[in-house]
Amino acid sequence: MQQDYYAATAYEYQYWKTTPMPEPHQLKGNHPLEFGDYARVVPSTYLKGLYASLKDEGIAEDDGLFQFNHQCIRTVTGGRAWLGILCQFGGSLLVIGGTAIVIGVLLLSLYFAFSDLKLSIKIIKEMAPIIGCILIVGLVFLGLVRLPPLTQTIFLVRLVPL
Amino acid sequence: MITFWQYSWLSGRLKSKKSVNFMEFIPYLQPLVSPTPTSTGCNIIFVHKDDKSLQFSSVGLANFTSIADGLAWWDFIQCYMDVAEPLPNAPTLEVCRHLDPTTAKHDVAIGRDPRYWRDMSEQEYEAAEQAMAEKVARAFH
Repeated sequence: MQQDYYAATAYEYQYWKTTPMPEPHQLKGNHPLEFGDYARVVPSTYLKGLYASLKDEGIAEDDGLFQFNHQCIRTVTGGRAWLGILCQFGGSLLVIGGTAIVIGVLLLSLYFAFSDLKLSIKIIKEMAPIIGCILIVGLVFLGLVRLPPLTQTIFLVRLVPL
Repeated sequence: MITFWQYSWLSGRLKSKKSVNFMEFIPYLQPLVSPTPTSTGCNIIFVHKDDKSLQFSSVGLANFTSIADGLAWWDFIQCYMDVAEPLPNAPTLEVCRHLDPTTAKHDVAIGRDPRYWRDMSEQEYEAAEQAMAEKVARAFH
């Protein structure tokens, strides 16, 4: 809907004629740019490869947005996707480590308490909670990345780019 | 106005919204360099004059292959933000030119075809694209 006025906070180049420019920061490798002196150009990003979108009336007339141009517009995906990687690798390490400790404990009980069943049970009982925790955490981590996609997005957001 | 939307990293829900005036940002050109001359281009970053943590940039809006293209984008953004100036003549903005009062007046004054970009043939579009690329190269050589 068209309005015949602009907000008081809207930008106008006129503003810089009455207000001094702020002092630029000390940022290494960055060059401050100047306002004004319009060349009235359109960068290639907003021209290249848009012909097909222009011809698609559905896209052009619908909401004023064109098809996303992946060649010209770079997206940076950030978020919780790394959690999925952490769960996969961390989970497999914990499960492998937990299994190795189980085998280790069984070997230890075999080696040190071959003839003593009580000592063997004691070793296994003392180690059981630690091993159990490691294995359960590992399995939960692995399970997280194997959930059905819709459930997974609750924990890990979308794992593929849009 | 530039609005920053902050989301919770864990739940993905909106935490806060902050609007800051466009005039409060200082624009910088950030040339991209690499040890081998295989990558070219630049970023335009906007840093708030008082708070360096308030930043936004051209990343996600444009991908420049040259510094001239980056400067053209800065020119484009200024014309876009300046309410005293008509919107830039870009195909993406053509469908909403009539909604902006300054642009609507300007278009009537110069007699601009409201379907200038949309009625072009592919050859005409490519020629216009090429002409604009040459204009950008001339303006920011």
